[in-house]
This record gives sequence, C-alpha cells and structure tokens, in this order.
Amino acid sequence: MLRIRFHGRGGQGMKTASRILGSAAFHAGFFVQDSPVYGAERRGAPMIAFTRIDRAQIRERGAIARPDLVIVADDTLLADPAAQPLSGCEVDSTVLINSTRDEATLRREDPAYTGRLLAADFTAVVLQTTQTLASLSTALGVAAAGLVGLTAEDALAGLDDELAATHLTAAQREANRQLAQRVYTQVSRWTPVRARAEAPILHAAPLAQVTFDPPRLAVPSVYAVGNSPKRRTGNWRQFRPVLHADLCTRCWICFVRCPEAAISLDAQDYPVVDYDECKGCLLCVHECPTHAFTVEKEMR
Amino acid sequence: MSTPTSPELNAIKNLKQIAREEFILPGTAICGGCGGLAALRLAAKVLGPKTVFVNAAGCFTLLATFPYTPFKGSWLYTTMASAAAGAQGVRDALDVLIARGKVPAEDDVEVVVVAGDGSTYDMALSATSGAIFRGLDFWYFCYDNESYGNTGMQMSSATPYGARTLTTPVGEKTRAGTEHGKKDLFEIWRAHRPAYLATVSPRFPIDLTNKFLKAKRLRGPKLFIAHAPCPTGWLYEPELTADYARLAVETGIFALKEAVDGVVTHTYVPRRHRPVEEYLRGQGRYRHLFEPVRNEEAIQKIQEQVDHYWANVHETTGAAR
Amino acid sequence: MKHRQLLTGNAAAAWGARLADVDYIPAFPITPQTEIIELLAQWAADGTIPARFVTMDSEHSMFTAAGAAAATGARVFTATSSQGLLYGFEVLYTIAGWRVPLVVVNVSRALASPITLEADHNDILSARDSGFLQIHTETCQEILDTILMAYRLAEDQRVMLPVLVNLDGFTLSFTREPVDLPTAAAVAEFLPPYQPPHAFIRGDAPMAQGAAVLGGAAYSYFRYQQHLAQENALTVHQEIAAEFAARFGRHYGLVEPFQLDDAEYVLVMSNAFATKGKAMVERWRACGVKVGLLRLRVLRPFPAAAIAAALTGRKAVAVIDQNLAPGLGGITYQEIAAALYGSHACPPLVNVVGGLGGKDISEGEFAAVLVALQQAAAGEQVLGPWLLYTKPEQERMRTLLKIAGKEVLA
Repeated sequence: MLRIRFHGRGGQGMKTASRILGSAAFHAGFFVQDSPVYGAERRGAPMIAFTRIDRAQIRERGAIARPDLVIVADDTLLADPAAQPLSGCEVDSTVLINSTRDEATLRREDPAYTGRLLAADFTAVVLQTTQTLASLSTALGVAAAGLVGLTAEDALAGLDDELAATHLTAAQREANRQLAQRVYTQVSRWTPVRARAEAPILHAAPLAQVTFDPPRLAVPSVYAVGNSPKRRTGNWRQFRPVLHADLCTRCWICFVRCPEAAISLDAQDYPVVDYDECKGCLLCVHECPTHAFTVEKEMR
Repeated sequence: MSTPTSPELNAIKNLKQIAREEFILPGTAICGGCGGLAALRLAAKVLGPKTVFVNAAGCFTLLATFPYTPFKGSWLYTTMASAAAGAQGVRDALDVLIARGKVPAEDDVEVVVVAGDGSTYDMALSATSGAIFRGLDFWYFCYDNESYGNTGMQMSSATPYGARTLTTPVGEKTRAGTEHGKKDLFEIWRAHRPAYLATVSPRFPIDLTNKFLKAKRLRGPKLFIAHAPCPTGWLYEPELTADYARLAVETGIFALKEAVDGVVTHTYVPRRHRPVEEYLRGQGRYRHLFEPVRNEEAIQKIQEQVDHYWANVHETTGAAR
Repeated sequence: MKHRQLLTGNAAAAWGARLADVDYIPAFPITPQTEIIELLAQWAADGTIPARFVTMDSEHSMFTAAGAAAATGARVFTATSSQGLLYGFEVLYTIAGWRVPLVVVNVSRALASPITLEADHNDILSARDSGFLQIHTETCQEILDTILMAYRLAEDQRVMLPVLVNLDGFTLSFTREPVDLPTAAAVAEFLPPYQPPHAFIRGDAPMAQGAAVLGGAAYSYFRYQQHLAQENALTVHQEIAAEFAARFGRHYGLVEPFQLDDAEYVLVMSNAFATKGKAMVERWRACGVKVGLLRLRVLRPFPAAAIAAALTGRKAVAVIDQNLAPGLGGITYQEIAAALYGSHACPPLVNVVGGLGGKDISEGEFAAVLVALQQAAAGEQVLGPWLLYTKPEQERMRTLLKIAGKEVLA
C-alpha cells in the first residue's frame, strides 16, 4: 500500500489534490481510499487530506500516521505546531514541499527528518499557466500522481474527473491540463516513491492509566482568559501588510476595520500590525485612504 | 420595559472616540476578513469585560476552542437551538444569587447571546421568542452571513433570493439558486416590542457603537442583527469585506435602522441608492446572475424588492411611513 | 405545618426541591409531572420559597436554562416526563459534559408512539448513557429523601454530575402516601449551600465553559472523567446514605434487598411496581416458597458488584423489565446479565417484560413468572424476552382492532 498525506491551508485545494491522486489511481485500476480532515470549514486554517492506494482492498481508516509521501502546499506549515506535516515521516519517506526556498534551507526547519526532501516552486508554475492559485490543487495532485509512479494518462484522467465536478469553462480546464502536463514532466525527473514492506507490530504501545481528576481539571473550561494569541494565527498568512509611516495620516481606519484586533495604535496613534496574529486578509491595505500599506509575500 | 440605567453613555461622533482596548483578542480560528467578527469586536468595545457570551452552534463556536479563549470575559457554549434559553438561565441565576447575597452585585455581568443566522433565523426562533416575550434583560448579537456557514455554506432562511448555496445550487429548475426570499427577522422580533432592536454593519462603526451605547442604558431584550459579509461563503477576496458591507447599505439592500419599544427609525438613509448590481456583481455566490448569461429577471426582482422596501420609508426622518 | 402528611409523589418531589433550598426552577408542563411545578409556582409566588420560578418555552429550552444556571453557580431544580425528556435530550449530555450539579425529577411515562399517559421506563432509561446519574424510587417518602441526597451527591467534588430522580407516573405521581417531612433546619445541616469550586459566571473571575474540543484524545479524556466520577458516586452515595440514615432514620442503598437472605428464587424489579412484587413475595413465603425481591434503585452508576453479590448462587432469577428495547428485550436484563457474566454460581436468568404503558401485572401473571423460575431452576430452557400478557387482554385487543375496522383473522 502507498500512503500519501497532503498538508495545506483551507482554500489551497489540498482536498482536491488528494482526490485528483485518488481518481488517477482508481483510473489505473487500483483500490483507493481518500479523505480530508479539518477542524471546521476555514480558509487559512491547517488541514490534511489522505490518499491510500493499493492493489487489494484497503483495510485502514482515518489518519495516516506513517506516510510514504507527504505533499506540503505551504512551507509556512513547517513551523506551525497545529500542522506538523513531517510527523511520522522516517528515512524511507519522501516529502515534497511547494516553496521558493531550496532543499537545504528547508531541511533546517526539521533537522530530525532523515528521509528524502524535494522542493519546487509550484506556485510560480501555476501562476504562469492558469494564473490562478486555485490550480495549486491540480499541480500538487498531479505531482503526487507522478511521484507514486502513475502514468501521465492516468494523472490526466484523474484530473479530468475532478475538473468535471467544477464550474470551470472549457478554456480553464484546458489550461489546467497544460499545467498538469508541465508538472508531470517536472516531477518525472525524480525517482518514484516505493511502497515499503509492512513491518509487523512487535511491541505493545505503552498505555496510560487515566485516573479521576477534580472538576477544575476534568471539564473543557478555560480559566486563562484572553490566551488565544498563543495560537499565533499569523502562521496562516501568505501575504503581509506593511505600513509606510510617512504616508500614514493616523486616521484610525485600519485599526477600526481589522476584524482580528491585530492592529493596535502606538503612543503617537500610528497603527502597529501584530504579525504573530495577522491572518493577511489585507482589509487594512484595501481600506487605507492614503495607500500607506503595501503587500509583501510571506517569507520565513 | 426600557428604563434608563446610566446616563454617561453619550453617542460618539468620530472614529477616534471608539475604545482602544480590545475585549476579543486575536488568535481565533475564524476566517480572515470575517465581517461578523469585525462587528462583534466593535460591539465588545462597548460591552466591556464584564460580559458572558452565550453561544449557539455556528462559525463563532470556534472562537473558544479548548484550551484557548479570546475573550476577556466569560463564555458558555450551549446548543444550536437554545442559546437564548441559556441566557435566561444565566441571567436568572445571577439575579437570584445576587438577591440572596451569594454573589456581590458588582460581580454581575452583561449576558450576550452570540449566534449566526442559521441558529437565529431557524432553529432558535422559538427559544429566542420565549426570551424576548419574558422581557429578559439580555443582549442578542446575530452575525448574519446569510447561510449555514460553519458547515460549509448551505441555505438558511436568511439566504437571500438569487444567492447560490450548496443546498440551493443553480440548476435547470433553479436558475436563481435560492428561489425564496430572505426571512424578515427584524419584523418578527419587532412584533415582540423588545426594549431595543437594531441592524448594524461593521463598515459603519460609529452607527454600530452608538446603537450599543444607546442600548446599554436600557433594560430588557437588546437585539442586534449584524450584517456579516463572508469571503469564504460569498466567494470574494477577504480584503473586500468592508466594500461589500458598504455597498449593501448604499444599494439599500441592508437597511441600517433601530426600533425602541417597537417603533422604527432608520439611522442612515442614502440620499440616492446605488443599483443593486454594484453589490451583487463580484460576489461568487451571485455570479450565475451575470455569467454565462445575464439573468435580467432575477436582477430586476432583487432591485424591485429593494425599491419596494424604501418606498415605504420616509426619506429624511427615516421613520416608516 | 405537620411533619407527617399525606402527599402525592408529585407533592413529595416539590417538597424535596423546597427543602433543598434551590435557587432556580425553570419549568415546562407535561403530564404527569405538572403538579410538581404548580406547587413550586405557588410557593415562589407567595414568597414561601426564595427560588426564582420561570415557565420556559419548551423542555429543550428548560434544560438549557437549568444547566446554564447551574454553570452560573446556582442550585437548580426542574422536572419533566417522557416526551419532554426526549425533547431536551441533547441538553442532558451537554449538562453532564459541563460537569455541573442539577437535580431533575422525571415522572416516568411511556413513550410515543403510540402516544399514551401511563408509566413505563423507556423514557428514563433512554438517558442512561447521558452522563446523568439516575435513581429510581418506590414510595413517596423515598422521592423526597432521594432528592435531598441527590443534591449532596451531585455537588460532591468527587462526583460533580447532574442527577435524574425517577418516580412512576400515576402509581406514584398522583398517589398519596404518608410522608415524613424533615424540618428545613435539619435539612440545612445535611445539605449546605452549593459553592462551586470550578464553574461559575462572575465579573471578577471570567472563564470560558463548554469550549469546543477538537481532537479525539482530548475528547476521550473529558468523557472518561465523567465515567470515573460516576464510579466515585458508588462510594459517595453510600457515605451520604449513611449520614442521611443517621440524621433522619431512613436508610437507602444502591439496591434494596427484600427477603433475600435465603431466597432461592428472586424477582428483580424497580420503581412503584416493586411494591406489588414485594406483596407477592410475602404471599409466597407464607406458602413456604423461598422467594425474594431485589429492587433496583441506583441505575447509574450501575452497581454491578452489589447486584452480582445479591444474585449469585440463586436457583433462578427473573428480571421484570417495565421497558422494552425492540429487537433486544428488556434493558436492565442485559445490564444485569453483564454484571453476572463469569461469576461463580451464576443463576439462570429469565427476561420478563411487563407493565409496558402502565399495564397492570396481575397476581396471576406473577404466579406465571414463578412457574417459569421453577422451570429454569430445573434446567429447562426458558425463552426470553417474554411479554406478560393475559388471554383476556389478548381477546380485548382483538375486539379493539375489530372496532377500529381492521380485518382481524379468526
């Protein structure tokens, strides 16, 4: 069995990507099981999708703990404790990251990882061909299909199945197919992922004894009020607003408009963006009457 | 029903009178650019720290996700249909505990229901009617994104005519997507003659702040319907949330009004209404009205609904005719 | 005020809430509990009790208000039955998950469809997995006493879970019996005011309650804590019952053994019809038959050890369930069988279903049960579940069907 995990943020299309791969493998005659997991429907929040491919009926359910292949749509997920895309990856795993950074730089995010790490800027390829980030699903779904050794025909068939469920025009679908061709060619220079031998479980996991805790502990209440900034939703951001104070008239509009309370006012009433929390919705950029904000792509 | 409590809550005239302190902190799992959160944040600045938010199932249920809470005040998640009944229990309990000397009066809190349109317009209509009928001294903040948003954008009775959702999709038999009209919750609530009732918009923060300040002086049900433009569900880029909030008001689709003891005043009447098309066009949920073929009939129908509403509102005073 | 009065079961329940000095009573009427809330409404209106009484718009709202008030820090009482219990069903699980104390009286009434009015126990038993404790009562005295003990149990930090107290509709709710009323002062010594250590809503100590929990490991922890608290309740109940007995002279256990010591045959019953079973036991004993009765009282937490101890070594045991799980049989039968499984000298266990919809269980039907027990003890297979239904009742049923225009086969 091959086990593939897709990590992305809500809205990046990793559920679709997992289904493109699933449909491609199904078209090639394999048994397939694909499914997403998300906390709730949320654009920007980390989510995971799973695809399992096998020659026989698949007797697994739910999360993939030891993936053979991990696709990471957004390299900011590497540092996000809510995401942990490399969890369960070992020396025989392959991780493909959509990033402008190179493999050596990315490895420093998780030095403990000893498996294969591949990186490429799929976002750039997407923007060059279909010119919409919505096609990231196509790029990464087809990349996964190529990396597990499916043929280009099967990959395109899988893509066609998923495109059929959308409202895209004929021209848009053709653009996606061309993107798929390009990506497939690009990934075919890498050795396909192999299924590993299934090791029997030898040691029972250490089980914990859960004992009675007093009511203050045993109920999902939160006494540390106002602790949500610890979640650091700044990790959701793909683009950040940057203030140019010389253009700012201190009108308060961005402070008032920000839904997150991620903009505060300093002693002189200049807005200060809390980059630990800002989700990058860019309302402030759009609303500023003097265009005092510019937009920069997020880099780590 | 509406008796003044504190006279120091004067109306504000400009943005810089809005409180700087935050009572809902960042770091929540709410979509970036959420119009509902923008409105709640502004409301919280008036409500202050001594509040308990009583929640019904919806997008905002994920505001407090163990072990985190963004509130400086308290929070209680109840059920989808009964947040108003939960508010009843909290308010009554505080009243009796204070009366019996078990809790000091200065530790009282404002009781605020926070619920989406899915809960408020549909399942919770009964429990909310009960609380208003009983004259409960509480606040109700409904963030209306015109759908069941937390479950991925299905139709609620707040979904307007012509908007597409996943359960009212566009098809051969349903060319408009949603074929029925939006339920008029304002009028349903107004029939109960609550102490205070208002519509608010995140793009009109001074209007919103003043409505909350006004209500803070009153006892009894203080009900708010907040227009909550939703980039995730309405399918537009998050940075445009304030634009759509503004266009909703300027086209007349969303009326800014209040009712004190059931008597209506419009608090903002655009001198000239922009055509509804300026609001509709650009939102993915209305795209089928424009592409691939323009659905003139549906667009006209929406325009007529709006025109008909405003024909019954006196132009300068904003009172209903 | 006389200390010994003739009270209906409903009135005894109302007195329980009054003596417990509750703060808040959200209410909604439903037959056969309505008299409870009518009495409380009158007392609240007169100022006889300081509690706040409010009629809610539905049971779903009523339970939500009750739980929310408990989460605020108040001592709360409410009552319902049957359809009302089921209407607010999701809120039972919600309140138990909040880990706040609350006492709810359920006046049992058989569930629709068909819609009816008299008692059986499908309603109360449907709540057995909700996290609420549940205690079933046999007499009007026991109703009042159990409510007082239930508040002590619910508010104990080793438990901190809500409690359902069950009493049968009609046979107890509308039936008067002598009841000893303890004084308010005596109760106050037994039951101090509720001081929540963990859950309250106050301006000076804000907290988030009922937060969403995403992730199975965290959810498992919270849910399992409910179970551990219920297990604690087995010992906490005994402590409280011992103190109650010392103060008021009446002792209640997790189960009630009736002439069990040397019993060869045992009937297992609960609630008001257990009285009828006890009467039969006395008559059989007078004829020399060694029969006893085990009355189930605390259903949650399920006192498996006490039940197994009472039943092992018997020649045969009949569980008379006044409830039915279609496709399975009697509900308590299954749980008792599980408690006995694997134990030394496990007796033959007969599953009898009787009294559904309040149908009477006649002396002749009890006698038939004894015959079945004797057969089981002799090694004969006694098939179950077995519905107690007499031939005259069957004849009457066919007549009713014919009157209704149904084509009844000869």
